[in-house]
Amino acid sequence: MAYNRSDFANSVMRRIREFDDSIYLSKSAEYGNAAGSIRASAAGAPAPMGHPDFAHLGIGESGSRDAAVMFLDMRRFTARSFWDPPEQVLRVNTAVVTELAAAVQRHGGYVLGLRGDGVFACFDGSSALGARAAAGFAVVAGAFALDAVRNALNGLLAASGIDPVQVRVGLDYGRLDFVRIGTPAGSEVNVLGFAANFASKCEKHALSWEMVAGEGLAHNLPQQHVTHHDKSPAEYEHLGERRVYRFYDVSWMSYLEHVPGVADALGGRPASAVNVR
Amino acid sequence: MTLATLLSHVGIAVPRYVTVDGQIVLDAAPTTGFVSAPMPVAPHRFHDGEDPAPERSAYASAWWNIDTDARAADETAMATHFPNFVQYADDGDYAFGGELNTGRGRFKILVLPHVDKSLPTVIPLHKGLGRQAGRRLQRPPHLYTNGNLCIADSADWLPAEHTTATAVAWAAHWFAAYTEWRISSRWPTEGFGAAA
Repeated sequence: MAYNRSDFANSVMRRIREFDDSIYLSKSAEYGNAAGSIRASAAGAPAPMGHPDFAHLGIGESGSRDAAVMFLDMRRFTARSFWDPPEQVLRVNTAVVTELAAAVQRHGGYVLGLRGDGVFACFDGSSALGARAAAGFAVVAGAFALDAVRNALNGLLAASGIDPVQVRVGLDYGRLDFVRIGTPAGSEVNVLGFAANFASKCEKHALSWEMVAGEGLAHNLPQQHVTHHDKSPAEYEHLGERRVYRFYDVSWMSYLEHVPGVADALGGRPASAVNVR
Repeated sequence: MTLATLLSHVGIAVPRYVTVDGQIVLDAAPTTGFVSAPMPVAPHRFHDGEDPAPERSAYASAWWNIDTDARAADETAMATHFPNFVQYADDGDYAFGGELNTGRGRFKILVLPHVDKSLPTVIPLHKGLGRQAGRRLQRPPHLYTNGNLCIADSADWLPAEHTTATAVAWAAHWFAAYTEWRISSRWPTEGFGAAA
């Protein structure tokens, strides 16, 4: 049976159960890397997060890639962390974010980092199929996550006496710059670029269960799959010149019928591995 | 199939190929060093209704018995693209039987070319094609009323160009769609690349 929303939900619940307070400290190292285990190395070690093409950059070195960028996060989790016991917040957050990251990877994305309540990811657009395919895989990954949380996970959370969670997605497409920042004692690959910034902005505009995309991504989807967002466009002014950048609601439900089997067909490979000759 | 329908959904034209064991793939490159390259799937539309196949008789005047070049080309195409299929040639007949592996299931078929070189008949040897809907078995779309696979419209078949291997590739595409329909209850594609 193909990987589906029930697998997602059951995996989250399993992580929550196993993440008992008493074993949290001893287990944290293992689960902290779980999202990377989909593309584990041949030796069995979990793969690090980030785009593998830029993992070996030296300090100060940089590279770039056109990609679909995704921010996928849990909404209203700040308020929840104010009211709920910290241990429960930690368990739910870790279990859900880990599985969201795994779902992104299963659907062809690279997880670039975990951002508190969410996942920052990209879908490499460098294959011969280019931007459209990357955009398509990004929307499918987001659609899978939204559907899995809303229609599978939340029922199990409620049955366990845990408040349901709400997720949203922000997307855009464009150039990403990867640069290693730091010192020999410690460094990381930072990801910069307007597309990343704007995808984050789109995520903030998205309400629960919504997917909002900047025009860089929306223009790579069929026109009928997007509608102009109420708050669009964003305006940018520089040296007296004013430019606008539009953003859109994505009709992600129409992608659900294309979700089954995508993860299995990819088999852990990134979206850029899909090619047609 | 899944990736093909997703890519089509975002507006990417995706050719389809069928491997020697009957799996629909997107890539023309061979997957291993010792098999031939996957065969491109010719444009076709799945169909339904009454089976338009003519009666299979008068083998003496059948194309495979009077047109040696056409028969040789047909046999070569089958040997190249579906080498695991067995040829039947009793009493002047000409047919092939074999198994297609969709990756989600294996299905045996019998392929019967027709004496007038019209669209071959594909008979599924798997009993009970369908999906369970409550207590009854839901029949899949795109079957003729007699239970044979409707792999294409008669107009899709180009007798001067197509071979029995073309029909087997269409049958592989049919079973790829069928296995997806079994999981999702949605027939994922109406065919490939043919004008509406």
